[in-house]
Amino acid sequence: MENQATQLLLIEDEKAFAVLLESYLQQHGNHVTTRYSLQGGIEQTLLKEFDCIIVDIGLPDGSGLELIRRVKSRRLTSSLIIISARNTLEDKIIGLDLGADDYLIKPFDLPELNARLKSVMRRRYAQQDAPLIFDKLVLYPATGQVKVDQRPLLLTQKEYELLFFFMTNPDQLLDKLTIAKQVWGYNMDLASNDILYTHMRNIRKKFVDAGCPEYIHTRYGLGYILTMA
Amino acid sequence: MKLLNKTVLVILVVMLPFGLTGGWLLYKLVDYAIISDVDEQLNRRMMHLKERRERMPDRPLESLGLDSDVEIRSAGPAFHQPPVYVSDFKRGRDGKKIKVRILKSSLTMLGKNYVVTLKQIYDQQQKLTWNISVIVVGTYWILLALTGIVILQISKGLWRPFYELLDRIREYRIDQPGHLNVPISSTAEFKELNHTLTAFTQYVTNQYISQRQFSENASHEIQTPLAIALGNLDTLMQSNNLHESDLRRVYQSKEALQRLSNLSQTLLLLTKIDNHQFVVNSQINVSAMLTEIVAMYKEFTSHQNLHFHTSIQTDIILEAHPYLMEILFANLIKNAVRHNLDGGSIYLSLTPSHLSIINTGQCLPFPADQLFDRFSKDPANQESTGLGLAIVKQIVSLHNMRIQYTYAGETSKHTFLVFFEQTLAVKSGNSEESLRKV
Repeated sequence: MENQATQLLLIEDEKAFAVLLESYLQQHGNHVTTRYSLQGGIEQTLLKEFDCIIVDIGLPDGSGLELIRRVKSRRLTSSLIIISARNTLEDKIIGLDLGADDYLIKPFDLPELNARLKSVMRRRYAQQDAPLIFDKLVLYPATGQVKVDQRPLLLTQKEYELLFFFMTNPDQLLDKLTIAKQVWGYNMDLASNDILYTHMRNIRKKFVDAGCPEYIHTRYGLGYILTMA
Repeated sequence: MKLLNKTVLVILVVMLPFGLTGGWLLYKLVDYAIISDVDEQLNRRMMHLKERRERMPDRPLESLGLDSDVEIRSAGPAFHQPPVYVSDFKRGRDGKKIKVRILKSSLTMLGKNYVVTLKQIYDQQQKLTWNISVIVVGTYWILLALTGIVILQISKGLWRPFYELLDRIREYRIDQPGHLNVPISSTAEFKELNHTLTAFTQYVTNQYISQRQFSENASHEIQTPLAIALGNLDTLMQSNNLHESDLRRVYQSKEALQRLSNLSQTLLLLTKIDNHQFVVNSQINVSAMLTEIVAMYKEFTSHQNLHFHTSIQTDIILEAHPYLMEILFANLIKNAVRHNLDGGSIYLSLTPSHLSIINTGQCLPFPADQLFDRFSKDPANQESTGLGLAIVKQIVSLHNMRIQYTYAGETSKHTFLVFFEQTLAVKSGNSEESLRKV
């Protein structure tokens, strides 16, 4: 999986959005086939087995849920991520019940899609427990441990979540809003710049104390980036 | 006043002067007829007197059968008294006043001039007149009253479909499924009213449904262009060719769009609650739910140096919608955190009858009765959508609960009380559910 590009099928009727997602996903090392209709999507699934299908629910010629039904009835092993503008509990429940692996509501941040896709892919290859590695930094999702040069780094729950998000999106500028949305969800409006700043300061202090290089850089007024540079 | 009673009252008011003047008129007419008759008799008696006198000139005047009712006086030859009829009283034997009619006239008999005064008692006739008038007027009133009662009774039956229709309209809810169920009536006017109302409610319902679908579709439709814009901004954020200040502009645009997205999502939620798209039929352990939510907010309260005091009675079960209950609790706590003072306090307590959340904070920058209105917010607080408490209010009313807000100026404390009208159960230790109404 690491060496080979992930084969993705993207089904999204909004051309501008489809193009955007396609280019973003390709930039992150995936091979993307894009279709703009349910029928087009279904035809693609007959031609080729994809690692993951990202499908919009509201398509002009039918519901994306129909595609999930077809894929599941044919016992295809492709993972499925739903993207929908409809933020309804019912759609979410139906989608996940049908066997979708994740459900993203528009609008979502691209790093969030990347994180979700990675996590779905890790599950697909039974690698969900495989450690995430960034240079000297190793994060073990199975145990929730983080190590620097084999020395454990003690993080709080929130610090761990933050680091996890950074490690799934290395070398990307993650703005404060995206981070707050990812880590605090519904309460992101309460998560003032202050609180994120405090957490980031604490993580970086722990990095320094553990003798770890300054991987996380501040982009003043914007956000943070996990990078070697 | 009911139309029915009004009709009867109008009839009475209109008929009262008729009854009174009619009675008076009747009395006067009969009285006039009787007096004419008595005058006629008096006149006849006068003629009779003259006739007898002239027939029997030898007999003395006194023997002409005169009684106390006849008075004859001689008068000078030049004297002339035209006939005058007057009504008067005379004393009866028992001293009672008796009505009499008097005719006074000069009369020439056998060449001699007299003034004759004749009296005729008409007390009986007078009484008869009175009695007749009373009987007629009485009958009139009785008939009128009977007519009123009959009209009232008939009208009640006639108006029944109208009152039924009113009940149906009262029960009718535009935001709930089902048509206006009009009662069947054979009365043309009511048929027309029913027809018009059915058409009208159908039209309004259709408008309402399309409005509702419009708000929902609009909220959904807005998300895709937002996703495109936000996604493109995300891509721009990763660009190495942009100057720091440009990146900040990109970020600010992202923030603004995110706010727009949140606003639209929140409005959609409000619309859905308004439209009763959430069915309240789950039994929820609100104690457990609240404990979990409180734990989630501890991070924010400790960051703001707030003292968060909680007292949550365990295993309180409510019939509620889980998602909405979570939002209710979260929004109230969020509100208490956001509008608190640095180093302030939050007191949260849950009992089977109510939830109370008290927080320290500045007094409201707007009147308290606007607190639960949509978009009423502290202008100083940019992050707030001004919809959180509006949602709270909607959720509360959907669950037939009640919310109360008070502010104590001297202690700077805002109190929110949510009263649960029906607590399903408070689980006892062995988890046996005991039904209990509060």
